[in-house]
Amino acid sequence: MSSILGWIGGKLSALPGPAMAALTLLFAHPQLLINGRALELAKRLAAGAGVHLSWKAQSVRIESLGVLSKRIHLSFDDLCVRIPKDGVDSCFAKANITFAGGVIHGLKPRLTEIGPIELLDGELAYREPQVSPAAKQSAGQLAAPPKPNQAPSPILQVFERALEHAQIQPLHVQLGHILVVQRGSGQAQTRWQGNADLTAQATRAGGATGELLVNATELPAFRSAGAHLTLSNSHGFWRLSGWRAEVHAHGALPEEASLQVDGEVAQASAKNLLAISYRMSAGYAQMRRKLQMNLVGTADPDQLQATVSGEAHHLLPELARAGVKGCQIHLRKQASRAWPARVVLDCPVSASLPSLPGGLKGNLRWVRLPKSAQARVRADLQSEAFPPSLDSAVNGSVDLELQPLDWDLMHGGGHIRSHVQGELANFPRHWKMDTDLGLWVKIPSFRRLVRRLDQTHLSIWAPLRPLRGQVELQAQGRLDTRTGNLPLRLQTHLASRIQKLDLDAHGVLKLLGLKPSPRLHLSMDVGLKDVRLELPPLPVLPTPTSPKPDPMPQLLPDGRFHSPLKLAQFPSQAAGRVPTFTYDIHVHTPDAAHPVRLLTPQIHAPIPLEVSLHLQSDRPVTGRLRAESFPLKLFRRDVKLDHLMVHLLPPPKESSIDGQIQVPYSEYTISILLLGTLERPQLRFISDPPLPDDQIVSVLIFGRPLDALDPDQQRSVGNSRAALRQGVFSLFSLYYLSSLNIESIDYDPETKTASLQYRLAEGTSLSVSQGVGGGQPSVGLRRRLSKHLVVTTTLLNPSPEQANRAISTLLEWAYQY
Amino acid sequence: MRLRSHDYEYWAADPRSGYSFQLTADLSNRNLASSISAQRFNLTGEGLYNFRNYDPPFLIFGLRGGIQTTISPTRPGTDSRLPANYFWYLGGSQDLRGFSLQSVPSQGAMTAIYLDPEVRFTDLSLWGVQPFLFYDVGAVGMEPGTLDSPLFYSPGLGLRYKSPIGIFRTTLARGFPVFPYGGWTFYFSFGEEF
Repeated sequence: MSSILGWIGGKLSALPGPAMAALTLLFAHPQLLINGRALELAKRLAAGAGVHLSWKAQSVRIESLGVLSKRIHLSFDDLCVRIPKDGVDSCFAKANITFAGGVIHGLKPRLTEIGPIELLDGELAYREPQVSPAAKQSAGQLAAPPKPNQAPSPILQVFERALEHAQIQPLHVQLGHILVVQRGSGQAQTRWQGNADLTAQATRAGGATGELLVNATELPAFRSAGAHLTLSNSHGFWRLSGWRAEVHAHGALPEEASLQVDGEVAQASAKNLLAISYRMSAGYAQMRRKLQMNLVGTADPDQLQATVSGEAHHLLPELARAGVKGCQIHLRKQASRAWPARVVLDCPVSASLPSLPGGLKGNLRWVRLPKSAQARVRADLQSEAFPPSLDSAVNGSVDLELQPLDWDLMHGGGHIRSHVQGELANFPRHWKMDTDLGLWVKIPSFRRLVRRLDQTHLSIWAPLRPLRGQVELQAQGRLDTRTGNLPLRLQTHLASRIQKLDLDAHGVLKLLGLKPSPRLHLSMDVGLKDVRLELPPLPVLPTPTSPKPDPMPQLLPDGRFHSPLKLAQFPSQAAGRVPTFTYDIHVHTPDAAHPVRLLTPQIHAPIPLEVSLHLQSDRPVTGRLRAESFPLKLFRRDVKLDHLMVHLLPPPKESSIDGQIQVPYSEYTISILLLGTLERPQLRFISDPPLPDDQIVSVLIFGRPLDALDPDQQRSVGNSRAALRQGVFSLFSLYYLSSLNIESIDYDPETKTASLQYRLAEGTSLSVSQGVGGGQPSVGLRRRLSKHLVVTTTLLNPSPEQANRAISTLLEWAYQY
Repeated sequence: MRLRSHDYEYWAADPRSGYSFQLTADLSNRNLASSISAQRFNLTGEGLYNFRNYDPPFLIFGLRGGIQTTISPTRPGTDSRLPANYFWYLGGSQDLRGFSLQSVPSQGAMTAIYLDPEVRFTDLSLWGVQPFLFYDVGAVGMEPGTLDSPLFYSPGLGLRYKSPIGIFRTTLARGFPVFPYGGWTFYFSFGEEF
């Protein structure tokens, strides 16, 4: 219909004067112009213009309303209009067109009535003709769309003026079958079929209203669809501007999905007829998936502006909820041949956070993770086609700014800035994305984290539990999506009154693959910037937890602990034997001037420790621990630990020890060598100048050479050597046992029990015995009451957790004669 | 059967936090290589709390307790066939510190229960000596699984010293009711970590 009107208008506009004269003659003697012959002539003229009209029968009835005023009734049977150039083919079984007019005031011919117009039982077919791509781009728009704010074309103005005073009678167009075929790329075609019913009439207030019902029986992606549009124009029916439409559309999609759209569209400008403003509400539902969007904006052939708010539920399995509020989208045409379209986006977004993998979630069930996050998405993209299609390439920048997350235990936030390039249909395959990442998570209160993790398998190791401070994890740097590398940085600033833990770790988290499950690899370099740790007191006497007296402190991770690294490797049974997480971590002291300092109550000065450890997911810990030179007191003398090195090797029990303590004397220097393995450490004594072993032990324990000792003390020297050889005493027990004044040492090689007597005061001594061969440990106090009388009180198995504790008191009377 | 927390094990030589529980059971039946029929159960435990997790600790709260019972038709007495270690006694540095060692009751009981709350001041710069306060409570019963009056209690105070070879403790407490088992009691112990 619009093509026909356009054609008629196009013809009339060429001859404005003769057109007016023809109209006057038409209303005075219409039978002269409107008759069967004239209609046949009109048919021929229309054919010349590419519009083919045909009908089976026609009739013309003229009703006189006055001398120069007539009402003309045209009736057609099987009226068809074909426009091959535009691919339009339409037929109506019955067409009744009525109009009235006359020559009125000022001798101006004027149409006074349009309608009723009935086009009933019709069919319309539109098959998109084959056109060049450049022509196709403008074919989707009405012919010659006006530039913004430019007046409509003269043709349309003539029509508007000619019809503006005409009284509109009802209009009814009935299309029982509509077929639209649009060409795609190559041989592809898009079809839709349906039917439509249009009614329109004038309102009493001088406006116009209409109703359009459209049903689609065949529509791409839809099982069925329908729309109900209510059109209105308060200024009149034949106005080109001022139209408003209320839209209610619905569609049924496969898999029980449905789509509902309600809204209003209105012409926004009298000068730009194709500029509209709209307000839409769209809803999509498919079982649990729901999407509700509200859009408000404007559009014209060169741009689209929208403000979008809405929410989506369960659109993705990992995403329970996502929403936008006040999202601004602006699509416009720009003066660039290569990139004619530009999209600018500014969207506040909120989304629920996905659940953690099963195993990790179970372990973190006492940590209240945030349920949602807010972010702002900004994008500035160019497309090689306007409007953009799925086939068109885009390039530009996308920024994601995370709103700071402030929740139970952590603060977090950051940004992701990415320059992207690729085809929309292929996202994310074959896309180029250069991304700058700046994400951070801070734990402001380590103490609160410790308390929460106490309820999980990831509780914090005892010496670190009293620390206060914060931990910060950053992912900062360039993210390479082709290889999946994410740079990481971990910093800790933790301290208590006597301990400190400042770490600075740099690393990369790599994505190795996604099938069958995501596999990650962590490479990290952990620098121990400032570390001061307190060691537990080492028990002297055997306890149920330490059956061997004061063993070497355990340097390797306790295998009974659930390591977070091991947990990440196999988070659930479903992961099977394939580790989902592997790691390669190097822990070291980066600054020789700031070694790790170990504090122990047994040694007053901190032990400086140089650390170099290598932790890998598929093998035991290897590396080196080196205690640097520091002063200490041994055997009541100021000595120097020259060095103590532990080489961690697989298996851990075979890790080697190499240490030396130098005990200086005026005439010689005694060196105590610590050798062997972690499982079986050994002590060796050498001196410079060389001395026999018994002389060395004599000097160490009693401070005097062997020949200066009494027989009891000489016997003690022999016992000590035997005890040392049998491993009854270790260096640590020697260290603090030697801090007291040793009176004598006894050793039973059968029970491997050694007994030390300490002089506490004149006539009073303390005895401590311990063994490794099943002998019972004991502590005793011996007091000489008089020249002949001695009382000794002994506590057997002094540990309160041992069942067979016993206490005995012995009173001795001796007389030597 | 023993249950011990990581903290308790780590600081075993100088306890400051954590918990430990122990359950022992002895089952004897006359028909199975035993001259008596008796089942003896002993559940003990202790917990320590480092106030606000200070490092080094400033204040340590401790709670020690036990529930003990022997199920047997035999009762304590001079003609009892049960050995003495099948009966339960309170009194001593391990449970009621205001009573003499294993004096409550004199002949033994079939059931005993005790609870010892204690607070220790650890960082008072007293040359390593740590004072502490306690209030021990306990009860015994002549029948298995039952408790009789009176309720025994002993408030007191003590000193603790950590030496290189172990912990020395001394306590002074008054047991109530004074008659027949209570009164002022002094203890000196070595190796008891609580």
